[in-house]
Amino acid sequence: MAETPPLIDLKNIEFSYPKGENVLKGVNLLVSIDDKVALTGFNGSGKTTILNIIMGLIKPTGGTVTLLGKKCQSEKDFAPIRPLLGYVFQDANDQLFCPTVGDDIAFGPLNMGSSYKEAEEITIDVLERLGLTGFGQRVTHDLSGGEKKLVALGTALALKPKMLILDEPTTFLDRPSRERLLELMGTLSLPFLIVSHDFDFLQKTGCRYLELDDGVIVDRGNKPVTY
Amino acid sequence: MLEYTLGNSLGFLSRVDARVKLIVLVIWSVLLAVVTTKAAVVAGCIGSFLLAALAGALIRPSFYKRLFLVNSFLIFIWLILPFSFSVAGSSLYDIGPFTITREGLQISLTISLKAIAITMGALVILSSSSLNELVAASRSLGCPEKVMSFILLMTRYISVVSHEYKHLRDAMRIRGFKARCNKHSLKSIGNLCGMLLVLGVERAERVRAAMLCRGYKGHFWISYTHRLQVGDLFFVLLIVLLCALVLVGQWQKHLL
Repeated sequence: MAETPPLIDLKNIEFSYPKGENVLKGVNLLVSIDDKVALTGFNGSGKTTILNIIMGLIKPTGGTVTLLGKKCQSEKDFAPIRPLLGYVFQDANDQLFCPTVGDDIAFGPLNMGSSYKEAEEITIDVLERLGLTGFGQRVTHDLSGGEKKLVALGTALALKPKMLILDEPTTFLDRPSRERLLELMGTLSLPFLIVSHDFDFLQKTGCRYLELDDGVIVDRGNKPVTY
Repeated sequence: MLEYTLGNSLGFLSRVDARVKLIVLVIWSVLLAVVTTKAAVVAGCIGSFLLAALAGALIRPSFYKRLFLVNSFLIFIWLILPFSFSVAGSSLYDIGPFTITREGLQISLTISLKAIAITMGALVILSSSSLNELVAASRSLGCPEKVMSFILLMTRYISVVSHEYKHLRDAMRIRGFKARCNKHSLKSIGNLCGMLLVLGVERAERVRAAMLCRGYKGHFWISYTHRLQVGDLFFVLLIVLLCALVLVGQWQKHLL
């Protein structure tokens, strides 16, 4: 088999806010094609910053970002790759901006050049996979927190991503919704990068643990350091 | 919670094409705004009332609530206008130093009836479609995409902002805050408004980032897929009839 490039390859990433100290001091992160990675670390340690750097939403002050084997520097490099990374935001309200669920799921495929008919088919298919058949016409702000989270995941899935990047996926979720999410992640069998403190949840996904500590990433293997 | 429509089953009106509704509403409103005779204004009121009755809006409490809200500004007209024209008009009653004039009363009445007729028509016609449909229909009628996306995003996030407001307000309340007329209250409420703005800007940035992550290239996807049907024709016919009634009222002197 020909060698598949890793999904995400960060090398020596540095980042500092305009007036602050260095948040990231040479981060190396490798997510390969069948990887399951959890990124943990204290509040304010820069986990979300790393995600934003991966997505090209902010620019690192140093280091290189390579996504799907392609070195990414400018907006032009990131734009075509972003939809393939399946980023799901922490707050579903940030991600779901359309009046109805159907519109929101169709938004991504339409951006990628699907016709309205294709987008509709994708929407129906995605909703079915999420167990939300018939939700297309539902008004987004009437959904429960758990449903919103699933729909947010659906908006990423509609783009047929190569992986999922989940930022604190279980915050605001009750137990049944968490179980539902866990079950879904199992059936999707996509590689993922999760930022979370929910060790109970992480444990069940069978991932390996990376800890962001004082600006660098430490590999913790299969055992998380709980704090 | 926001309620966009008066309910799903506003009779036959909810099945009428939203584009037809928008065009009809503009014609009906402009017509009622420009007519001058009493007969025409009364005919307009009857027309709007008939529409509301046909759509089954008259039995819904929310209909009257909305009608009252949009027409509440009429109170100010009734507080001022009847007392105007006191030099040129013929006086009806004297209340202390103020005089109520016939002309003042007539104008107040005309304005009120016109306002009620127009808002009633608009309420019935617009609230029988979802906001989504109306936006898509406006877009297909040539309204600018930017304005439409503005409306869509606004209606989507107004409930989120009101949620944030409630959170902040509750957080203030559990720390014993009570709005009074003093410097501390004004400053705290100022901070609350400022914080809402900051949260709003931050959220806007996150929403934009999330859109970029899904390949947003500056284009909103609003499509209107409905097609004109026979029922739309009936609705147009009904409105043409009502318009004719109003026009007869306007020109009855010349006609009869």
